[in-house]
Amino acid sequence: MSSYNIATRYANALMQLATEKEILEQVSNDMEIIYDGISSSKELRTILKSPVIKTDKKQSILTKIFDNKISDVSSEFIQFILKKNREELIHEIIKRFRELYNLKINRVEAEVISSIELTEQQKKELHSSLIAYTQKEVLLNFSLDESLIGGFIVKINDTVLDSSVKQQLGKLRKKLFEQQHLVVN
Amino acid sequence: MAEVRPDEISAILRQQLSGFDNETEIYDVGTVLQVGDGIARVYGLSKVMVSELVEFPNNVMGMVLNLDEDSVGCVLFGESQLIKEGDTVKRTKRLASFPVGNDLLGRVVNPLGEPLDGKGTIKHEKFMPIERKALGVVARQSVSEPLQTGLTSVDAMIPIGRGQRELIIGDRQTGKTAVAIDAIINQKNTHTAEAKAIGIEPVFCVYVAIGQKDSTVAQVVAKLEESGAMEFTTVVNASASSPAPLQYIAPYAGATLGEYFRDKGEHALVVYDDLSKQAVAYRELSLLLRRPPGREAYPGDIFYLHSRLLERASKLNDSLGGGSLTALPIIETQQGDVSAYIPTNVISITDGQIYLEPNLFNSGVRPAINVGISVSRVGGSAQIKAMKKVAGSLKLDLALYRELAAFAKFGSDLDKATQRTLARGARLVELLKQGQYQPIPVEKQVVSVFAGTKGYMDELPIDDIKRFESEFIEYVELKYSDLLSTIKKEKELSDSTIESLQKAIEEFVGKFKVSD
Repeated sequence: MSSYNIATRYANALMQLATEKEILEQVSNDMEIIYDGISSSKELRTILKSPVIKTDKKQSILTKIFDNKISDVSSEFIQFILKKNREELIHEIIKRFRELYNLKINRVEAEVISSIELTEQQKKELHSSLIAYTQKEVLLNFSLDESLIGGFIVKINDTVLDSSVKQQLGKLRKKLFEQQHLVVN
Repeated sequence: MAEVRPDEISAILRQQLSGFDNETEIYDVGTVLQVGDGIARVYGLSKVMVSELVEFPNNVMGMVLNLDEDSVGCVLFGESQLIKEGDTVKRTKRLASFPVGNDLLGRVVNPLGEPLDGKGTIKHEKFMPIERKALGVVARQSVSEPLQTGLTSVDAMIPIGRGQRELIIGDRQTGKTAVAIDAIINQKNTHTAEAKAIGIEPVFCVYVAIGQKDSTVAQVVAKLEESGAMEFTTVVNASASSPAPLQYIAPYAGATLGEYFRDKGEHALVVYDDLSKQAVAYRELSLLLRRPPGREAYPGDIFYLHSRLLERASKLNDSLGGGSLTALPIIETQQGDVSAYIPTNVISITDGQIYLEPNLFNSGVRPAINVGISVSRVGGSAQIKAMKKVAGSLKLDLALYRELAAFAKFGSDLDKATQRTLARGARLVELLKQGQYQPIPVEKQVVSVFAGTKGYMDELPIDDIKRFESEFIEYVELKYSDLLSTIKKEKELSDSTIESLQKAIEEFVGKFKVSD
């Protein structure tokens, strides 16, 4: 079975458990904490992946790091993953959980890439128009990419809204080539 | 030197930029997970359709073939070296399609419709999907018009009708392609003003070359150009060096172009040269996409691969314009083994087959058609009456000859009747020999077969038969030119025509000098 499928199963299980116990938001926050923790430390990732380090050792490390910071359910879930020797997939599982959680609370994550830093006003406008476009709550992440020359790109799941100058120049280039009757070969 | 005026340049640029809209582009994307051997697995592309075109970086196009739970399997129409893991894949929201239009005639294109002949871009009328569902029962009617191949042995004994699927099968180097090319060249006769006057509608041709050497295809194109047949022909080429996916879709692309003519109420002839190579290309794809292999490692849907292609050949009913799409698939056998997987499949799908045999080819019978086992299941009703009349006795005489020829090898004492049958048969076999790229119009075929079956050649030495035939036709053309045009127009052998034909033959036989 592919890692995608496995991660989906674990994420689904956590989702159901959290819904049952009505602590979905709490668990979601916990997962973000764990995700950030693992993402920020390369050593931690190496340790988790290493087959040499024993499971109980890993268990104690993770408990020490995240104890007090996360709820019991989340903590138990992490222990469970370790017990099942799926620690490699923690990252993937949390990603899938995030997707499921977003779906549940009718929210999408959007990545906004712009050529220059957007003003607060612009961000606000973009936010409200994206809400109108998707009919969902939108969580925005901003980043910069100067190669766009101008304009911005919004990525929502698999869909891309591209109004960068780079894209328009590419389109123009294609159009000019077509009109030149150049041999495509 | 002419001066370049800046305002002129900007005027041209402005003109070209008009209609350029700078709207936001919305597209769906995915990420390449794995790539190699002409296959890419893509994550994302959540709403993609099967057989949709997708765009990879570096202008490489791909087609979606597998929709799995967590990834999408694509075949690449370009080089897989240009694509890296993690590349972005764009949806085009367009099913794999082929540009169609009259401007494609006279051109050599690849299965995506891009020109390969260096004659510039092609203005197409529209795009049509390469995978189209074949027409149903209601839209069709039975085959009724002849498709003359210009080969006497085919037109007389294995007639092909417009809308038929006739398989050309044989070992390598037996002249399979030659039969198909002759058929294309002979369609020149349907494009003349004369043909129009007597109600013969033009046939547009598509030659699909799959997995062949580029040099071979170039030769075919040169031959078609030389004989003036390229004007109404499109060559779709997926050569041996092109990726397997292109070889796989090439016949469908050709069929789409043929259907474009058919749907306009016109007539099309599509040659698939050859489908065994396409099957091999599809096997390669299927194995790479991890579909389970079956007999000879072909995937389970290899029959459907060919049946859905050949089922698209059709004759439309009159309310839909009465157009037709005739298919001439070619299959190469190994060592004459027609019971291999692919040959048996295609034989069962088509409306008959033309067998070409290396033995005949080597003994000088060219085209090397084994008329004993070649059949046409529906073409008979499309044959013109004049040909039907003369072909009946031709078939019979040849069948008798084959039966006796086997025995005659043993005994030397043969009675008169047997000797006569053998002599007749040997002369008819000689009469059916025909040079490559020399298609004969049907009225001339009728005249020469008539002379043969009525026994006017029985007394001649075998070496003189071909000379007799050509000189006789020349003689008729000069002295009885109305005879040929009457057959052509009436498509029948009336008693008066037979009478004057007999008169002409008798006159000519008297004048013909046997060479020593």
